[in-house]
Amino acid sequence: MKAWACFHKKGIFYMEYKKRKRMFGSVSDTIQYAVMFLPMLILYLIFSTYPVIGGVFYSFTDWDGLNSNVNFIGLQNYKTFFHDFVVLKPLYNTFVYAFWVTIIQNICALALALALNQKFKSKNLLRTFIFIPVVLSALIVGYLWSYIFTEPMAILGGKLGIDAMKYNMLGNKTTALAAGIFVSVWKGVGYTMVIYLAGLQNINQEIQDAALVDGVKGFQRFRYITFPLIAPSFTINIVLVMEGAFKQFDLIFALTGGGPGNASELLSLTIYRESFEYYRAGYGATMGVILALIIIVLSLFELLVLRKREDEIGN
Amino acid sequence: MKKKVIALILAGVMTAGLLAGCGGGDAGQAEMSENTDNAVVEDAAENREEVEEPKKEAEDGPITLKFATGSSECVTALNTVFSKYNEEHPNVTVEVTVLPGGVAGFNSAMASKLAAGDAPDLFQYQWGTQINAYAKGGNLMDLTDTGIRDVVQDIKKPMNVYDGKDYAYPVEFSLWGLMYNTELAENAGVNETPKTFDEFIGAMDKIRDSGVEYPFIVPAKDGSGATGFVFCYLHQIVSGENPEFYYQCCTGDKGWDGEEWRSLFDTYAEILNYANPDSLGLDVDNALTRFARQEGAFMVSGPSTIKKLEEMNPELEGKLKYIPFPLYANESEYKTIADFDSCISVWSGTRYPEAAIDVYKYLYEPENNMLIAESRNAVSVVKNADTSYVDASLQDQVHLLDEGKYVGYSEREWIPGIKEIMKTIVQEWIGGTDLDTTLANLQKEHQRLLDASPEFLKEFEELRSSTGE
Repeated sequence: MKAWACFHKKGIFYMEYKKRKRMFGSVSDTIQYAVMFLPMLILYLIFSTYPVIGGVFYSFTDWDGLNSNVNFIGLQNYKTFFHDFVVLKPLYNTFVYAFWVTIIQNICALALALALNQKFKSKNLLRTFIFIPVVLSALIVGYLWSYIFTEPMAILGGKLGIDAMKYNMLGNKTTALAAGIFVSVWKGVGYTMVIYLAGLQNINQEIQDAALVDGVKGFQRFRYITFPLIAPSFTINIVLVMEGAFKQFDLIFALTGGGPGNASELLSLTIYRESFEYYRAGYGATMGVILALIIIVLSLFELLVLRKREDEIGN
Repeated sequence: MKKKVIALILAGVMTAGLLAGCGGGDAGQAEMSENTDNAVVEDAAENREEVEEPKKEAEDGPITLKFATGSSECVTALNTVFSKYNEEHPNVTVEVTVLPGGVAGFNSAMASKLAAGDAPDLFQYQWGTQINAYAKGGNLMDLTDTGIRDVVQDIKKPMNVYDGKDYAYPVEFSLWGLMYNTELAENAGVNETPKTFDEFIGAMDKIRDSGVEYPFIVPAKDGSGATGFVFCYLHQIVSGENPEFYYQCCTGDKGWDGEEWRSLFDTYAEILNYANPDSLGLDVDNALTRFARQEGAFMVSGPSTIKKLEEMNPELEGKLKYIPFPLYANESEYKTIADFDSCISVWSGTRYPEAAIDVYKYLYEPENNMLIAESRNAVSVVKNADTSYVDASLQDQVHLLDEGKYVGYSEREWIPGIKEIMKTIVQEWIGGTDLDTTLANLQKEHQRLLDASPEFLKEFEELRSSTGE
């Protein structure tokens, strides 16, 4: 502080000091923040960065997951992946699953958010009910719905005469993935809804009122006023839901186990099988790296498109 | 300012704690390891390539060992045995953990635990090529000098041997076959246990006519349920008649689209005419509930399930039988499936090798081994133990064993991962995939496993030569 005081008389330097202090804080502040940040940084490096680096490293090896011998095999696993008939179906399933979960979950969440943004007595209770599945473990949700599809829904299907329901949708290769999408949306819609609700509550009431005065009502009001103004919520929800769907594992594992056959097998389940059931941990790591790259590329593309849209709306 | 100082101190403490937690343990363990006897661990470490010697703890203080099993039905028996052990050795406690999810679930969980260096000290798993997979990775302790080999029955297929050393011993001798509800059968006019395939189909016809819509329950959502029949057929008919069958499939002398596989699936198709149409969505637990509710008369399962069913519905007591799958054309060919089912190994990374070995030996004392075997409705493998099946539901099979009319589990020597592949392929076939595609997929997937483990065939040949096949 004393060193800076000598600049006091020279005005301009003092202004620069004030400006820098505003921007970065004082040196002691910076040290304090760095020390506070350090535990989190160390944890992040240990539990996030290190496994990622480890995963990338093992993707170039023939590690079986059990043996301590690890041989570097270059790009062999990557070459195998692009010629492996086993990954085709799970890869296709993953894209179908992620696409539909992203679309349906966002539509449902937005509809629920619009409904629960209205003024009525039980709205907080309903919001809570819709949010409860979010806090449940994906495994619990998977096993719960597995039972529901096997018993109550099958009985209902029998009474209604709907064969697909009667003989368990999880056991039918044409409906198993759809059932997985349904349960995934059921579990995640509350979280997406909350983000949309936050976006809706940030809309300036004056704009809404002005639109109302101009005679904009119903769907037109949603299309031209509400939806453009919740663009940031839309962006974040699309990216988050898609990324979560691509990474989905435990829910489908508990619900269908990827079956029947591999009708509902997602790439994450294939990674698990290759790594822990067929003891090809190196190859499993390769699949993990490729899945991560797919998610990164798609997320960046979505962000690029959706941010551009936000900017256009802002202008 | 005061808050900032407190936050700063807390952050410093957290960081110091984190660094101490990461670094301190090793130093302490290294110190302790100097005071312990290295003999047993050295044996294990010799077999581990480029594996660090495990850190060991002093074994005169309180010791807690972890024992993992995939068989939940053994837990009570294991806890009884370990409580007894604790009375004799008050400083040693053994905690039992169940790793659920069947064979595949157990193997997956163990693989991750071994990779993380956090495996249980002792673990019970399926007897088969899995032992070699663990031993090859240096994950198991050499048990050759424990003397257990002299205690247990002769091991005809030494799947517990890797590089000339024993890494596991079997726990029990168990049967495999079909649960049979005699009450439903008698109500339908079936008074004799079916022993041929025609009698079996005839019995199912009668039971269906008596009002049981689906006499045969198939829980094909799970691997063991989907492939239950498949493995019965492979053990009894295919490998039972030609023990070389799998080897011939590996070498190309037998085709995966050959008569054996076609006949297997044709027979399965005939049986599925009597099975629940929702089989692909039905898991084992829900299937057992249906069987306990007497909604079906036959179901492939392990013999320990009989006890579970009698607990679920006490009215079933005395009405259930455990029979060989009646797949033969003539009664004279009637055979059952019987073999070692599970085994126990010691993790090479255990911090208490002496205590672990001592507990291991204790498990093979006749009364303890018998208790564990009986919990699975099986018989002990210890030479001096009582080997009579106690459960009434198994009595019909005793004479078959006495007469040597049984075959072993053929698939236990197959390449690891094959069961999971069979599950997927069989599920697809039940779901409507045609037989040609099914068999072609089976061959492709098996070849993929072989390509990934080129050393398997050589090891398999060694195993075969050691058994004289």
